[in-house]
Amino acid sequence: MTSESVPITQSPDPNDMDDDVLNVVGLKKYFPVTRGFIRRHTSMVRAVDGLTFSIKSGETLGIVGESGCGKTTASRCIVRSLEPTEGQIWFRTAAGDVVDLAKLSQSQMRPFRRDIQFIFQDPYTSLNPRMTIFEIIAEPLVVNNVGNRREQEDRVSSLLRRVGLAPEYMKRYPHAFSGGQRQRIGIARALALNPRLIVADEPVSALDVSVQAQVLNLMADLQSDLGIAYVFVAHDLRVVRHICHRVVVMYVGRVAEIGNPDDLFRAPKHPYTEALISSLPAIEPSKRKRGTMSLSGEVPNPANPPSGCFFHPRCPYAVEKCRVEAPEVREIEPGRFTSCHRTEELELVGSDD
Amino acid sequence: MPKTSKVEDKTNKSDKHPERQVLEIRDLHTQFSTHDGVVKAVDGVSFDVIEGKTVGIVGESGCGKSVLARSVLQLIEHPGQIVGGKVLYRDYAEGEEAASQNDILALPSGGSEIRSIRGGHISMIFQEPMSSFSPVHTIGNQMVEALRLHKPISKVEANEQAVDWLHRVGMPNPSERIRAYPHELSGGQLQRAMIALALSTNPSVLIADEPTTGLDVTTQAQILELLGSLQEEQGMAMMFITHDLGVIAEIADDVLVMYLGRVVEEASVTQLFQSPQHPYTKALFTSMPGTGEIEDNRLPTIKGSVPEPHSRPAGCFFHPRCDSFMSGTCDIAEPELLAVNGQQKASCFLYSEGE
Repeated sequence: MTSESVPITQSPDPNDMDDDVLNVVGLKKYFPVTRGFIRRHTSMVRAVDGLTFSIKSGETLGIVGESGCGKTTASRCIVRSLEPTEGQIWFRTAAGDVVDLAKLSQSQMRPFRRDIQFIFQDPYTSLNPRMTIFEIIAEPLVVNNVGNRREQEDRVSSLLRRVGLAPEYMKRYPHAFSGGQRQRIGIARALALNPRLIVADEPVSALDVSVQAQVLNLMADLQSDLGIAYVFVAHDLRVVRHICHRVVVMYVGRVAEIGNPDDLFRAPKHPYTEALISSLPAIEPSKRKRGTMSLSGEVPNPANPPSGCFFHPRCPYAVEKCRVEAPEVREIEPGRFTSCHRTEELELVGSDD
Repeated sequence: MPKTSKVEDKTNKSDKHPERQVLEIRDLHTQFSTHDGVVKAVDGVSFDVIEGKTVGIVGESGCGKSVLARSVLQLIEHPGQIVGGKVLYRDYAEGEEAASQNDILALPSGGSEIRSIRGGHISMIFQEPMSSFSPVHTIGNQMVEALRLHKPISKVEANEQAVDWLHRVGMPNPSERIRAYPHELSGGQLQRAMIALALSTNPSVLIADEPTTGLDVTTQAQILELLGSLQEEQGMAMMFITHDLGVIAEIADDVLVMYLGRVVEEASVTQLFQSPQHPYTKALFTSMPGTGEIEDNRLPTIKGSVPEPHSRPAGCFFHPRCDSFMSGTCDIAEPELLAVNGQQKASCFLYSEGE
């Protein structure tokens, strides 16, 4: 273990970190665009461009937005499978130390990897078809030299039971399982080392509704029993509203709005959030939305974003200021952040559904 | 959540003429021979597709909804086989009297008749728009080819019509974009191009197989809006396959709910959402987040998972997962799809007992 050599530092305001597991400050991830044979760097894709948020232990933080908004890139930076370009990722260990993960080398990162696990979207490609369920779930234990073979088997069978599968399944291969069962196997593997934070990238979007409900319930149960915090990346706003305690709405790499899901839904404070809510399909035919659509156009290319507020070309409320001046993220109520110049003047419409 | 209160019905469209069936699907059976046994993917499905209306087909993966859609156009490949049933197509283009009924399934596969129906009279769009386009030809060339295959027009005319269609589906810069290759378009634009390609031949039926699955909600809303308004202009019928009840609420007039190859419930969209009858339909509604009351932050779920399609349970296929399971009835006899509430039909013994 290299934990001695890890630079343990305090976050800017340690009081703010009291029950925060993770505190992300000004996270940026730029990808260079290369052109031609000598691979000149011609421009930057600003996939994540200044993201700040925090997660308390036992809390679920949702990250939503259209594809290309940077939500997956952000989630991968947190687990350091992508190197952040700039910014800090303060992580609070079980012992109470606060570490900036963004500053660690990959080898310094190793001891923290057990605390931060990942659940993938596609349960069909995320499990190695040549490994048995035992090998898949026990792999983190083996890699980290946790227990002998017997102990590992005990651990795997208790994990399987924990996620609602029979321990006898551990000798089978992934092909024998349905999508929902595979997702449970992925969750069991993520739980193997008792993580404090699980980053889940669209964990239920490939599942049928009835199975989706089972997996969401399982995740909620694990959270209340084990106090795990989740970063839940999703595009389905109703799922996010159901499972998350707080939601970050992202647009082209930046924060549009942060708030608790009920507030966001009932009274959005950013026109983009309003547009996302108005695009949701009706929950019954009498509330059909046809003809009421306000949002046109597409997400701009993050390599060449518009001036000012990135949302202004699609925003029905845009004024001159929005075209010129990039808005800052402001806290308008405790815990409620928005990056719209005109929040105070606008009466945005949410949804009661 | 289905509400019992009467609400204004926005789904009624003004009827120009009495309902005319474009497609009558009767007792359709499609099966696949696999190593594990015969999978009856579509097992005796009957319904009508009405001019100017949308029939939504909803169900979870493996329920047979996509196989049903493909069977209508004889698009079933080995080891699949359409083993029974009729798909009766009536072409009203030549006037009401001239409309003769053709059984699409009786047409020789690969023959000229079936090919003039596919893409001409009945078009299909898919979840993955790349599957509708060849990657090595421009959007324009492919649209021109399709148009000229089904209409006796010159290349110049076909090109004009293609630009016009791209414009109608909301493609920015259609006269430029027509020269683009599929990979140069974004997902939403490609979806629009696919819709333009499918509708440019003025089909009387559009079969849409999960056309908005995998799209962002904003793009999905745009595509649903587009399909709805094109349907109003063209008067085409739509068969809309989806797993998403929200999409059904937005676009369907009538709905079939499928489970393991069979229709378990058939109703108008208003009836289905106000008072679903089959326990499976009810459970689908309650397991959707945001539709009902939730205790302890837990969503109501359907126990177990969809059984393997080659070993469907005896009796009612849903009985092992059903909360209203009646021992001695549901596990022995197969329920029939019967009227339970006016036009609404369900295949469940809860309703056949009293009658």
